[in-house]
Amino acid sequence: MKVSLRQVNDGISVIDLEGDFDLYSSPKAREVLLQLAKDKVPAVIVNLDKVGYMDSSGIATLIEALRALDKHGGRLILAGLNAKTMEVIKLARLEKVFEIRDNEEQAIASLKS
Amino acid sequence: MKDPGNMPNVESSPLIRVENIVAHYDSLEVLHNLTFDVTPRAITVIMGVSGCGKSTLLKLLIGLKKPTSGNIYVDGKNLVKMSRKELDTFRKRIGVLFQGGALFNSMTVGENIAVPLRVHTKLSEETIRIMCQLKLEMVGLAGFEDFMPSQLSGGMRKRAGLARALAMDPEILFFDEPSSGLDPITSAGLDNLILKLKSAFGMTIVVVTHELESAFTIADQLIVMDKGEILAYGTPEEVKKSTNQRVRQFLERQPEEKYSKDSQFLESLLSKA
Repeated sequence: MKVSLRQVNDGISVIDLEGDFDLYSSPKAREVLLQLAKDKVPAVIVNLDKVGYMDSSGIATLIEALRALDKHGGRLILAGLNAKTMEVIKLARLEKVFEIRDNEEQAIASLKS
Repeated sequence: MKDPGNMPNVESSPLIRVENIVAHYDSLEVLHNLTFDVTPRAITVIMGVSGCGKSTLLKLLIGLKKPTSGNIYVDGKNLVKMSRKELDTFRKRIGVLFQGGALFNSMTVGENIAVPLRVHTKLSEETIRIMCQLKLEMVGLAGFEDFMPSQLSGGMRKRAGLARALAMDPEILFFDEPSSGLDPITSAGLDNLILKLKSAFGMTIVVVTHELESAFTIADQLIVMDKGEILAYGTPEEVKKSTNQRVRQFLERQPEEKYSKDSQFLESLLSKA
Protein backbone atom coordinates (compact mmCIF):
# COMPACT_ATOMS: atom_id res chain seq x y z
CA MET A 1 0.00 0.00 0.00
CA LYS A 2 1.19 3.49 -0.85
CA VAL A 3 1.00 6.00 2.01
CA SER A 4 1.51 9.69 1.25
CA LEU A 5 1.11 12.72 3.46
CA ARG A 6 0.27 16.27 2.47
CA GLN A 7 -0.81 19.43 4.24
CA VAL A 8 -3.82 21.45 3.24
CA ASN A 9 -4.69 24.89 4.54
CA ASP A 10 -5.34 25.61 8.22
CA GLY A 11 -3.07 22.87 9.52
CA ILE A 12 -5.10 19.98 8.20
CA SER A 13 -3.05 16.89 7.32
CA VAL A 14 -4.31 14.52 4.66
CA ILE A 15 -3.06 10.95 4.40
CA ASP A 16 -3.72 9.36 1.04
CA LEU A 17 -3.77 5.57 1.13
CA GLU A 18 -3.60 3.57 -2.07
CA GLY A 19 -3.93 -0.23 -2.32
CA ASP A 20 -4.92 -2.83 0.27
CA PHE A 21 -5.04 -1.68 3.91
CA ASP A 22 -4.26 -5.04 5.49
CA LEU A 23 -2.09 -7.03 7.92
CA TYR A 24 1.03 -6.42 5.91
CA SER A 25 0.60 -2.75 5.04
CA SER A 26 -1.14 -1.31 8.10
CA PRO A 27 2.11 -0.87 10.14
CA LYS A 28 3.25 1.68 7.52
CA ALA A 29 0.04 3.73 7.87
CA ARG A 30 0.22 3.36 11.66
CA GLU A 31 3.71 4.87 11.76
CA VAL A 32 2.59 7.98 9.85
CA LEU A 33 -0.64 8.39 11.83
CA LEU A 34 1.00 8.02 15.25
CA GLN A 35 3.73 10.48 14.28
CA LEU A 36 1.03 13.05 13.44
CA ALA A 37 -0.57 12.43 16.84
CA LYS A 38 2.83 12.82 18.48
CA ASP A 39 3.26 16.13 16.64
CA LYS A 40 -0.14 17.14 18.02
CA VAL A 41 -1.60 18.13 14.66
CA PRO A 42 -5.13 19.53 15.05
CA ALA A 43 -6.81 17.47 12.31
CA VAL A 44 -6.10 14.46 10.11
CA ILE A 45 -8.12 13.32 7.12
CA VAL A 46 -7.53 9.73 6.03
CA ASN A 47 -8.38 9.56 2.37
CA LEU A 48 -9.46 6.00 1.60
CA ASP A 49 -10.61 6.78 -1.91
CA LYS A 50 -8.04 4.44 -3.46
CA VAL A 51 -8.26 1.64 -0.89
CA GLY A 52 -9.98 -1.35 -2.45
CA TYR A 53 -9.76 -3.63 0.57
CA MET A 54 -9.45 -2.98 4.29
CA ASP A 55 -9.21 -5.70 6.93
CA SER A 56 -9.47 -5.53 10.71
CA SER A 57 -5.82 -4.52 11.11
CA GLY A 58 -6.71 -1.44 9.05
CA ILE A 59 -9.62 -0.67 11.35
CA ALA A 60 -7.47 -1.30 14.44
CA THR A 61 -4.87 1.14 13.09
CA LEU A 62 -7.54 3.80 12.56
CA ILE A 63 -8.91 3.27 16.09
CA GLU A 64 -5.42 3.59 17.55
CA ALA A 65 -4.89 6.84 15.60
CA LEU A 66 -8.27 8.16 16.72
CA ARG A 67 -7.39 7.53 20.37
CA ALA A 68 -3.90 9.01 20.01
CA LEU A 69 -5.20 12.20 18.34
CA ASP A 70 -8.02 12.53 20.83
CA LYS A 71 -5.51 12.81 23.69
CA HIS A 72 -4.66 16.37 22.60
CA GLY A 73 -8.08 17.19 21.18
CA GLY A 74 -7.12 16.39 17.58
CA ARG A 75 -9.71 15.14 15.09
CA LEU A 76 -9.60 12.22 12.67
CA ILE A 77 -11.95 12.12 9.70
CA LEU A 78 -12.28 9.23 7.26
CA ALA A 79 -13.11 10.19 3.69
CA GLY A 80 -13.76 8.42 0.40
CA LEU A 81 -14.80 5.02 1.73
CA ASN A 82 -16.21 2.70 -0.91
CA ALA A 83 -19.12 0.35 -0.24
CA LYS A 84 -16.82 -2.51 0.85
CA THR A 85 -14.68 -0.53 3.29
CA MET A 86 -17.84 1.06 4.70
CA GLU A 87 -19.29 -2.41 5.22
CA VAL A 88 -16.19 -3.45 7.17
CA ILE A 89 -16.59 -0.38 9.41
CA LYS A 90 -20.25 -1.26 9.93
CA LEU A 91 -19.49 -4.91 10.66
CA ALA A 92 -17.26 -3.71 13.50
CA ARG A 93 -20.10 -1.34 14.53
CA LEU A 94 -17.81 1.66 14.29
CA GLU A 95 -19.76 3.89 11.93
CA LYS A 96 -20.70 6.12 14.86
CA VAL A 97 -17.24 6.07 16.41
CA PHE A 98 -15.50 7.57 13.39
CA GLU A 99 -16.32 10.87 11.70
CA ILE A 100 -16.99 9.78 8.12
CA ARG A 101 -17.43 12.04 5.08
CA ASP A 102 -18.04 11.17 1.46
CA ASN A 103 -14.87 12.84 0.19
CA GLU A 104 -11.94 15.05 1.12
CA GLU A 105 -13.75 18.29 0.25
CA GLN A 106 -16.60 17.47 2.61
CA ALA A 107 -14.12 16.47 5.33
CA ILE A 108 -12.30 19.81 5.00
CA ALA A 109 -15.62 21.67 5.03
CA SER A 110 -16.70 19.95 8.24
CA LEU A 111 -13.38 20.79 9.89
CA LYS A 112 -13.82 24.45 9.00
CA SER A 113 -17.41 24.70 10.17
CA MET B 1 -29.96 -30.02 -11.27
CA LYS B 2 -26.61 -31.10 -12.53
CA ASP B 3 -25.26 -34.57 -12.30
CA PRO B 4 -22.79 -35.20 -9.48
CA GLY B 5 -19.33 -34.36 -10.71
CA ASN B 6 -20.46 -31.65 -13.09
CA MET B 7 -19.75 -28.03 -12.27
CA PRO B 8 -22.52 -25.68 -11.14
CA ASN B 9 -23.27 -22.68 -13.28
CA VAL B 10 -20.85 -20.16 -11.77
CA GLU B 11 -19.11 -17.43 -13.70
CA SER B 12 -15.82 -16.93 -11.86
CA SER B 13 -13.00 -19.43 -12.00
CA PRO B 14 -12.71 -21.64 -8.90
CA LEU B 15 -10.51 -20.79 -5.94
CA ILE B 16 -10.37 -24.46 -5.02
CA ARG B 17 -10.80 -27.29 -7.52
CA VAL B 18 -11.23 -30.80 -6.16
CA GLU B 19 -10.52 -33.45 -8.79
CA ASN B 20 -11.25 -37.16 -8.54
CA ILE B 21 -10.48 -37.39 -4.83
CA VAL B 22 -10.36 -40.82 -3.23
CA ALA B 23 -9.58 -41.21 0.48
CA HIS B 24 -9.17 -44.18 2.80
CA TYR B 25 -9.00 -44.90 6.50
CA ASP B 26 -6.78 -47.98 6.49
CA SER B 27 -8.33 -50.26 3.89
CA LEU B 28 -11.77 -48.64 4.04
CA GLU B 29 -12.50 -46.27 1.17
CA VAL B 30 -14.44 -43.34 2.63
CA LEU B 31 -14.46 -40.86 -0.27
CA HIS B 32 -15.13 -42.13 -3.76
CA ASN B 33 -13.87 -40.06 -6.67
CA LEU B 34 -15.18 -36.63 -5.68
CA THR B 35 -14.97 -33.68 -8.07
CA PHE B 36 -16.24 -30.16 -7.41
CA ASP B 37 -15.23 -26.48 -7.33
CA VAL B 38 -15.24 -23.89 -4.57
CA THR B 39 -16.13 -20.48 -6.01
CA PRO B 40 -14.23 -17.45 -4.70
CA ARG B 41 -16.09 -14.96 -2.48
CA ALA B 42 -19.01 -17.37 -2.17
CA ILE B 43 -20.32 -19.77 0.48
CA THR B 44 -20.08 -23.45 -0.34
CA VAL B 45 -21.96 -25.74 2.02
CA ILE B 46 -21.14 -29.43 2.19
CA MET B 47 -23.93 -31.35 3.85
CA GLY B 48 -25.01 -34.87 4.54
CA VAL B 49 -25.86 -37.27 7.33
CA SER B 50 -23.31 -38.16 10.01
CA GLY B 51 -20.63 -40.46 8.66
CA CYS B 52 -21.12 -39.43 5.03
CA GLY B 53 -17.50 -38.33 4.72
CA LYS B 54 -17.93 -34.57 4.91
CA SER B 55 -15.57 -34.06 7.86
CA THR B 56 -12.93 -36.19 6.12
CA LEU B 57 -13.37 -34.01 3.05
CA LEU B 58 -12.82 -30.92 5.21
CA LYS B 59 -9.55 -32.40 6.53
CA LEU B 60 -8.40 -32.86 2.95
CA LEU B 61 -9.34 -29.29 2.01
CA ILE B 62 -7.28 -27.79 4.83
CA GLY B 63 -4.32 -30.06 4.20
CA LEU B 64 -4.64 -32.10 7.41
CA LYS B 65 -5.05 -35.38 5.52
CA LYS B 66 -3.72 -36.56 2.17
CA PRO B 67 -6.03 -38.26 -0.28
CA THR B 68 -5.17 -41.71 -1.62
CA SER B 69 -5.48 -40.30 -5.11
CA GLY B 70 -6.74 -37.20 -6.86
CA ASN B 71 -5.82 -33.53 -6.68
CA ILE B 72 -6.92 -30.39 -4.83
CA TYR B 73 -5.90 -27.20 -6.59
CA VAL B 74 -5.87 -23.90 -4.69
CA ASP B 75 -5.33 -21.01 -7.10
CA GLY B 76 -4.04 -23.62 -9.51
CA LYS B 77 -1.45 -25.00 -7.07
CA ASN B 78 -1.85 -28.63 -6.01
CA LEU B 79 -2.40 -28.82 -2.23
CA VAL B 80 -1.73 -32.58 -2.30
CA LYS B 81 1.82 -32.05 -3.56
CA MET B 82 2.72 -28.96 -1.54
CA SER B 83 5.94 -28.92 0.47
CA ARG B 84 5.74 -28.21 4.19
CA LYS B 85 6.74 -24.59 3.56
CA GLU B 86 4.07 -24.18 0.89
CA LEU B 87 1.51 -25.73 3.22
CA ASP B 88 2.49 -23.21 5.93
CA THR B 89 1.94 -20.37 3.46
CA PHE B 90 -1.43 -21.85 2.46
CA ARG B 91 -2.48 -22.15 6.10
CA LYS B 92 -1.81 -18.44 6.68
CA ARG B 93 -4.51 -17.76 4.10
CA ILE B 94 -7.13 -19.88 5.84
CA GLY B 95 -9.07 -19.88 9.09
CA VAL B 96 -10.76 -22.96 10.50
CA LEU B 97 -13.50 -23.19 13.09
CA PHE B 98 -13.40 -26.70 14.50
CA GLN B 99 -16.44 -28.25 16.17
CA GLY B 100 -15.40 -27.64 19.77
CA GLY B 101 -13.68 -24.32 19.12
CA ALA B 102 -10.22 -25.90 19.67
CA LEU B 103 -8.96 -23.18 22.00
CA PHE B 104 -5.74 -23.42 24.02
CA ASN B 105 -7.05 -24.03 27.53
CA SER B 106 -3.99 -22.55 29.26
CA MET B 107 -4.47 -19.15 27.60
CA THR B 108 -7.10 -16.45 27.97
CA VAL B 109 -9.57 -15.91 25.14
CA GLY B 110 -7.69 -12.76 24.09
CA GLU B 111 -4.35 -14.59 24.03
CA ASN B 112 -5.90 -17.37 21.95
CA ILE B 113 -6.92 -14.83 19.31
CA ALA B 114 -3.60 -12.99 19.46
CA VAL B 115 -1.44 -16.10 18.92
CA PRO B 116 -1.60 -16.24 15.10
CA LEU B 117 -1.16 -12.47 14.85
CA ARG B 118 1.92 -12.52 17.08
CA VAL B 119 3.43 -15.48 15.23
CA HIS B 120 2.71 -14.48 11.64
CA THR B 121 2.67 -10.67 11.51
CA LYS B 122 4.73 -7.68 12.57
CA LEU B 123 1.75 -5.80 13.98
CA SER B 124 2.23 -3.82 17.18
CA GLU B 125 0.85 -5.21 20.44
CA GLU B 126 -1.64 -2.32 20.58
CA THR B 127 -2.94 -3.08 17.07
CA ILE B 128 -3.23 -6.77 18.00
CA ARG B 129 -5.07 -5.91 21.21
CA ILE B 130 -7.61 -3.77 19.33
CA MET B 131 -8.00 -6.45 16.63
CA CYS B 132 -8.78 -9.04 19.34
CA GLN B 133 -11.44 -6.72 20.75
CA LEU B 134 -12.93 -6.22 17.27
CA LYS B 135 -13.13 -9.97 16.62
CA LEU B 136 -14.76 -10.60 19.98
CA GLU B 137 -17.27 -7.85 19.27
CA MET B 138 -18.06 -9.42 15.89
CA VAL B 139 -18.85 -12.78 17.48
CA GLY B 140 -20.81 -11.28 20.37
CA LEU B 141 -18.17 -11.83 23.06
CA ALA B 142 -17.05 -8.25 23.72
CA GLY B 143 -15.40 -7.96 27.11
CA PHE B 144 -14.47 -11.65 27.41
CA GLU B 145 -10.81 -11.30 26.40
CA ASP B 146 -9.51 -12.02 29.92
CA PHE B 147 -11.68 -15.10 30.45
CA MET B 148 -10.22 -18.60 30.36
CA PRO B 149 -11.89 -21.07 27.95
CA SER B 150 -13.00 -23.18 30.93
CA GLN B 151 -15.11 -20.24 32.14
CA LEU B 152 -17.14 -20.17 28.91
CA SER B 153 -20.16 -22.21 27.88
CA GLY B 154 -19.91 -24.55 24.87
CA GLY B 155 -21.54 -22.02 22.58
CA MET B 156 -19.29 -19.22 23.81
CA ARG B 157 -16.21 -21.39 23.30
CA LYS B 158 -17.33 -21.97 19.75
CA ARG B 159 -17.74 -18.24 19.16
CA ALA B 160 -14.33 -17.59 20.73
CA GLY B 161 -12.95 -20.24 18.35
CA LEU B 162 -14.50 -18.32 15.48
CA ALA B 163 -12.88 -15.09 16.71
CA ARG B 164 -9.53 -16.89 16.62
CA ALA B 165 -10.25 -18.33 13.16
CA LEU B 166 -10.93 -14.76 12.03
CA ALA B 167 -7.78 -13.36 13.67
CA MET B 168 -5.74 -13.15 10.48
CA ASP B 169 -8.66 -11.97 8.32
CA PRO B 170 -8.37 -15.16 6.30
CA GLU B 171 -9.09 -15.32 2.61
CA ILE B 172 -10.75 -18.72 3.02
CA LEU B 173 -12.74 -19.67 6.11
CA PHE B 174 -13.71 -23.25 6.89
CA PHE B 175 -16.42 -24.20 9.39
CA ASP B 176 -16.92 -27.70 10.77
CA GLU B 177 -20.51 -28.00 11.99
CA PRO B 178 -20.79 -24.37 13.15
CA SER B 179 -24.32 -24.72 14.51
CA SER B 180 -23.84 -27.88 16.55
CA GLY B 181 -24.40 -27.28 20.24
CA LEU B 182 -25.74 -23.77 19.70
CA ASP B 183 -29.21 -22.56 20.62
CA PRO B 184 -31.42 -21.43 17.67
CA ILE B 185 -30.89 -17.72 18.32
CA THR B 186 -27.10 -17.98 18.51
CA SER B 187 -27.14 -20.27 15.49
CA ALA B 188 -29.15 -17.75 13.44
CA GLY B 189 -26.76 -15.01 14.58
CA LEU B 190 -23.83 -17.10 13.37
CA ASP B 191 -25.47 -17.59 9.95
CA ASN B 192 -25.91 -13.84 9.75
CA LEU B 193 -22.27 -13.26 10.66
CA ILE B 194 -21.11 -15.76 8.01
CA LEU B 195 -23.09 -13.85 5.38
CA LYS B 196 -21.64 -10.52 6.54
CA LEU B 197 -18.08 -11.87 6.46
CA LYS B 198 -18.56 -12.90 2.86
CA SER B 199 -20.04 -9.56 1.95
CA ALA B 200 -17.69 -7.22 3.85
CA PHE B 201 -14.36 -9.02 3.54
CA GLY B 202 -15.06 -10.94 0.33
CA MET B 203 -14.17 -14.17 2.12
CA THR B 204 -14.52 -17.55 0.48
CA ILE B 205 -16.35 -19.73 2.97
CA VAL B 206 -16.73 -23.50 3.16
CA VAL B 207 -19.19 -24.88 5.70
CA VAL B 208 -19.64 -28.52 6.63
CA THR B 209 -22.99 -29.09 8.27
CA HIS B 210 -26.04 -31.29 8.53
CA GLU B 211 -28.28 -28.37 9.54
CA LEU B 212 -30.69 -27.92 6.63
CA GLU B 213 -32.09 -24.54 7.60
CA SER B 214 -28.66 -23.02 8.10
CA ALA B 215 -27.39 -24.55 4.84
CA PHE B 216 -30.19 -23.11 2.73
CA THR B 217 -29.91 -19.73 4.48
CA ILE B 218 -26.24 -19.16 3.75
CA ALA B 219 -25.26 -21.28 0.73
CA ASP B 220 -24.41 -19.99 -2.71
CA GLN B 221 -23.63 -23.54 -3.73
CA LEU B 222 -24.53 -26.80 -2.03
CA ILE B 223 -22.99 -30.23 -2.09
CA VAL B 224 -25.03 -33.12 -0.71
CA MET B 225 -22.95 -36.15 0.24
CA ASP B 226 -23.83 -39.68 1.22
CA LYS B 227 -21.58 -42.67 1.82
CA GLY B 228 -18.54 -40.88 0.46
CA GLU B 229 -20.19 -39.75 -2.77
CA ILE B 230 -21.64 -36.51 -4.06
CA LEU B 231 -25.35 -36.99 -4.71
CA ALA B 232 -26.23 -33.41 -5.60
CA TYR B 233 -24.20 -30.34 -6.43
CA GLY B 234 -25.49 -26.93 -7.44
CA THR B 235 -27.23 -23.80 -6.23
CA PRO B 236 -29.74 -24.23 -3.36
CA GLU B 237 -32.59 -23.95 -5.89
CA GLU B 238 -31.04 -26.63 -8.07
CA VAL B 239 -30.49 -28.96 -5.13
CA LYS B 240 -34.07 -28.44 -3.93
CA LYS B 241 -35.27 -29.78 -7.27
CA SER B 242 -33.14 -32.91 -7.10
CA THR B 243 -35.03 -36.10 -7.83
CA ASN B 244 -32.40 -38.32 -6.24
CA GLN B 245 -34.25 -40.44 -3.67
CA ARG B 246 -31.55 -40.19 -1.01
CA VAL B 247 -31.31 -36.39 -1.46
CA ARG B 248 -35.09 -36.12 -1.10
CA GLN B 249 -34.95 -38.24 2.05
CA PHE B 250 -32.31 -35.92 3.51
CA LEU B 251 -34.07 -32.70 2.52
CA GLU B 252 -37.45 -33.96 3.73
CA ARG B 253 -35.96 -35.32 6.96
CA GLN B 254 -37.30 -38.81 6.38
CA PRO B 255 -36.03 -41.37 8.90
CA GLU B 256 -33.86 -44.27 7.78
CA GLU B 257 -35.78 -47.39 6.90
CA LYS B 258 -35.25 -50.26 9.28
CA TYR B 259 -31.79 -51.68 8.80
CA SER B 260 -33.04 -55.06 7.63
CA LYS B 261 -35.90 -57.44 7.97
CA ASP B 262 -35.96 -59.55 11.13
CA SER B 263 -35.14 -62.69 9.19
CA GLN B 264 -32.10 -60.99 7.58
CA PHE B 265 -30.94 -59.71 10.96
CA LEU B 266 -31.17 -63.18 12.53
CA GLU B 267 -29.40 -64.64 9.53
CA SER B 268 -26.56 -62.11 9.87
CA LEU B 269 -26.22 -62.93 13.57
CA LEU B 270 -26.13 -66.66 12.89
CA SER B 271 -23.59 -66.29 10.12
CA LYS B 272 -21.20 -64.50 12.51
CA ALA B 273 -21.75 -66.99 15.29
